[in-house]
Amino acid sequence: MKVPNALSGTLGRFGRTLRPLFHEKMFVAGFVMVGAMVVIAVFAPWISPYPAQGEGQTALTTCPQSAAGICPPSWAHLFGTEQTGRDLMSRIFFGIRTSVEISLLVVMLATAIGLAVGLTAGYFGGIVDEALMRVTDVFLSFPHLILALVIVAVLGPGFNDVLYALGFTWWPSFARLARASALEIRNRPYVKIAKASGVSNRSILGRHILPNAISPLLVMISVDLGAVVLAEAGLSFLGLGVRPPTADLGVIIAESANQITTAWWYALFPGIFLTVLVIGFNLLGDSIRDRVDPRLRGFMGTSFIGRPLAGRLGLQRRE
Amino acid sequence: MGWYVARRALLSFFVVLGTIVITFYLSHLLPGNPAALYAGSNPSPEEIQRITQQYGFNQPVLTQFWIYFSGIFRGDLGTSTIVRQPVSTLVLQALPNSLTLAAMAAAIAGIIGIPLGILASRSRNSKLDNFLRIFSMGAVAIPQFWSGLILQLVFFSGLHIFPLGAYGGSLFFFQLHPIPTITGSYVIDALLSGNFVAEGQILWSLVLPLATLSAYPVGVVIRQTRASMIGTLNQDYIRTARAYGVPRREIEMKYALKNALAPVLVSLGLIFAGSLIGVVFVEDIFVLQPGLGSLIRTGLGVGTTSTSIISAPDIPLILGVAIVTCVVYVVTNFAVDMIQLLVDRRITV
Amino acid sequence: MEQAGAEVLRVTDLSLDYASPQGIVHALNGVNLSLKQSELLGVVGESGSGKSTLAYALIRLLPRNALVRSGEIVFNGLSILDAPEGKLKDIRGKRISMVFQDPMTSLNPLFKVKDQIGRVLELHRGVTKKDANRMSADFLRAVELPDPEQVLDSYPFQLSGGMQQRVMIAMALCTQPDLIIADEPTSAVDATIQVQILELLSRLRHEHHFSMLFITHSLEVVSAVCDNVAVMYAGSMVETGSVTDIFSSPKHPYTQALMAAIPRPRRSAGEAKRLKSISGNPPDLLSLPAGCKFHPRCPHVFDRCKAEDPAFRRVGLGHEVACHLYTE
Repeated sequence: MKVPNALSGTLGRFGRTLRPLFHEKMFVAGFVMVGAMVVIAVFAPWISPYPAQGEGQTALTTCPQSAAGICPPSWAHLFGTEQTGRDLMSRIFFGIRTSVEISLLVVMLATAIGLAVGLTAGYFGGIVDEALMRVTDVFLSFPHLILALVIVAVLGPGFNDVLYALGFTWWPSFARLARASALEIRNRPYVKIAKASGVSNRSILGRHILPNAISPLLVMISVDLGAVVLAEAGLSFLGLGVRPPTADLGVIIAESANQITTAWWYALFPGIFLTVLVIGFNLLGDSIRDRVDPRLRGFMGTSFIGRPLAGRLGLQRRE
Repeated sequence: MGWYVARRALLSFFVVLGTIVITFYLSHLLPGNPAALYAGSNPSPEEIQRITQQYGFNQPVLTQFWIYFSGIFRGDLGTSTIVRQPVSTLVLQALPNSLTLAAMAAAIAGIIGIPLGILASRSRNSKLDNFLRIFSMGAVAIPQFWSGLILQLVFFSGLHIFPLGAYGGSLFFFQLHPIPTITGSYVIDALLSGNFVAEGQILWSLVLPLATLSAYPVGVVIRQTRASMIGTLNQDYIRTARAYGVPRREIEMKYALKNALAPVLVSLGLIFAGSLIGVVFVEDIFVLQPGLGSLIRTGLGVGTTSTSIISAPDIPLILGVAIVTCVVYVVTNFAVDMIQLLVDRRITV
Repeated sequence: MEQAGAEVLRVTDLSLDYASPQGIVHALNGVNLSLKQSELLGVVGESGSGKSTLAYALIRLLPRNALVRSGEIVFNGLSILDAPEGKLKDIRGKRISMVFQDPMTSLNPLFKVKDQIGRVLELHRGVTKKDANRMSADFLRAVELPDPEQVLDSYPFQLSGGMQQRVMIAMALCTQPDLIIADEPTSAVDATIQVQILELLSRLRHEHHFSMLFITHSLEVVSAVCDNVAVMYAGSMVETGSVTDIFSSPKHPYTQALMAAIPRPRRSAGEAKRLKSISGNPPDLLSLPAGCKFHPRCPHVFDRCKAEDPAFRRVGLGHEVACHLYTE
């Protein structure tokens, strides 16, 4: 019996799942939104009207309303300017770039940790499983933002610190899922055969368990991306995000708060883009999840903060 | 069953313990110079010495942990470096208000979200249903710190209804309308002391903050209620009711609802816990003091919303807030599970 | 005195489709059925044969994606398919009751038994709550439940499977219906309980004079309680007749195969009896074969079977078959 090439099988299945999704309105809408944002993120230096300002260079634009250079939209600056006269549109575009970048990295980090912990726990079982799951429970009961907040407060703000903080906040859910997958996969015939033939644990984990466990994780990733973007923006809003002059949507919104009564454009535009980005990710995630396995709805929730503790004690519960 | 409760309580305790361990690690072991971190901005060498003595940074790790842990157990969360008061005092001052806000948000989410969710489930794929689905998608995605600002923009600046922020609309409100401190929560205390005028103004000033805070929970509740109702209506026992000619209204409102609402009510409890984070943002934007959000903002080194880099975060304060928030979170989870156990007698252990 | 022989239910040429994401599922194809007063008719078939769909169609309790292509259902002179919804509400639970397969999931877990049976009584017999309780207890006694008061005050999950099923039967009985449809009532309970339930149904039928449509996949169950049998395959009736006729001389190849597949004990120690199964695969309701739907699996198939759908032909008194072996 030929052992199926698990990874290509997984990706193939995933691809085949994706194609019919394009018929679903939700998916298409999300795809378009995210696509637009990604395009902006990638091409920010080229499509921003003032790329240098986007990256942080100050420019004192003058206008009668504000000495500080916060000017309303005009032909020169379609979205107006923010403090120190920078073009708001360019700042927003670069801010989207930051958001998308960090979110993807955070999710990758969380997945890596989650896979490591979850697969180990699920595959080896016993004490290892218990111990790792207790640790996971502890992290899972930390409200996401609070933990990230503490980490960044201690480490100081900055791109990497935010990355680690959020990554370490988000991995527990991935671990749970990975563990469930490992538990299910390790009982499959080809795994048992491999074990019986003396294949090393590490090899089994790498060649059989891992590729098959990735598929549900991909779904969870798409569901969680929106929440990660929100969390990152939230941290930045509190001042715990990337260091200036790096553009960041949360930072821009925070800056706009004091001027809310005088500079409406300052708050409005970055928020709109941020919301669209989050909605886009959510639409994508939910439609993928509904397509792949609607049963996961209860398990993964709708990118909501916190998951109940009881579920893990095997409490019989109707969904 | 008693065993189960004990196990859950023990688990909750371990989670809190784990939280303490993590915060200990983050504050004592991770930073290069914990004493400097704790000392605040521009510490003098004597200060650093004092801090090192106070927190025992020069002791072996386990001793440090013991100092830390026993302190927390006693209720001593350290001293705030910025405000220079015991953290526990500050947190206890702030907690009732924040909890009230979170509770109100959860209540609003239930009151608005559940009926809307039922409506949506009843007329699947109709215009109303689609509108509600889109609405809840949006509600869930909008960043709370942004929607609050926009609401301020539209209602305060634009339409001139609702104050910009602060309890009662003004930072001097309580000098004009003093309220006795009974529970520590303005909303409750004003009510309890019979000061209805003040209560009215307080609630009026909370309209925008609560609207901001409840948007996300309302979205979640609508979706959950809808899904739960639809799922319940597919169950066999509903089929039985239909086969026996029970009128549709009655099936929905009585038989399906009771079953469908159970998970939704559970999640309301979790929503309450989850709202604490939103509370941080809302208290910040609307300047609702005292509150956990304001504490965090203070702890981060700035007085009002701004973006200056934190030069010297108030570690004891932030840690204190974090620990307390986690405890509230864990306790709420535990309570929710216990209530579920009581209500749904089918759950076996 | 009841009129033995008066027709209670007649189904004529009923065809029904489901619209599914994969395509149109032809669940029922030209089904004919006749049920007389006090008759106990067993409807036998594999999963997917359409028997449950038929049952739900009789009280028009079909999902949204169901479409009746053709046919008629007449119950005591009333056309079920054409009747207004209000009239049907009057029939469901009152003139036609159903007993479902899995009593654990078919009873509402959050309501006590007395609330569930009581509601049916209130609804269909216009009694007050107090009377309803009393009557419920009587019916629970009728289904041989000891300590009816206790049962009434319990939640379904507190009862055993057998007790739950008896509660369901009591619920079906309590409005003195003309017809009880039982959808695999014994499939979800243990074998010993199965026998008890069957005996109970048999006895009740004689005491209360209702007609019964007994849906099952098991021929043995049919032989135990039913007067007549209707065999279904892929949404069509293939053979109908009395229990004696069907069991002693099954005419349709499918019926014959079902008979042969019944595991029988070895008559002597040395005799090794092979289990006979039916060759081929179960029918795919999305794409049914042309002609006789059983022809891909039929050991006696010939050309006409592949082209033409056989009509019902009498082969004996009250015994009809739809098979080309018997046409001409």
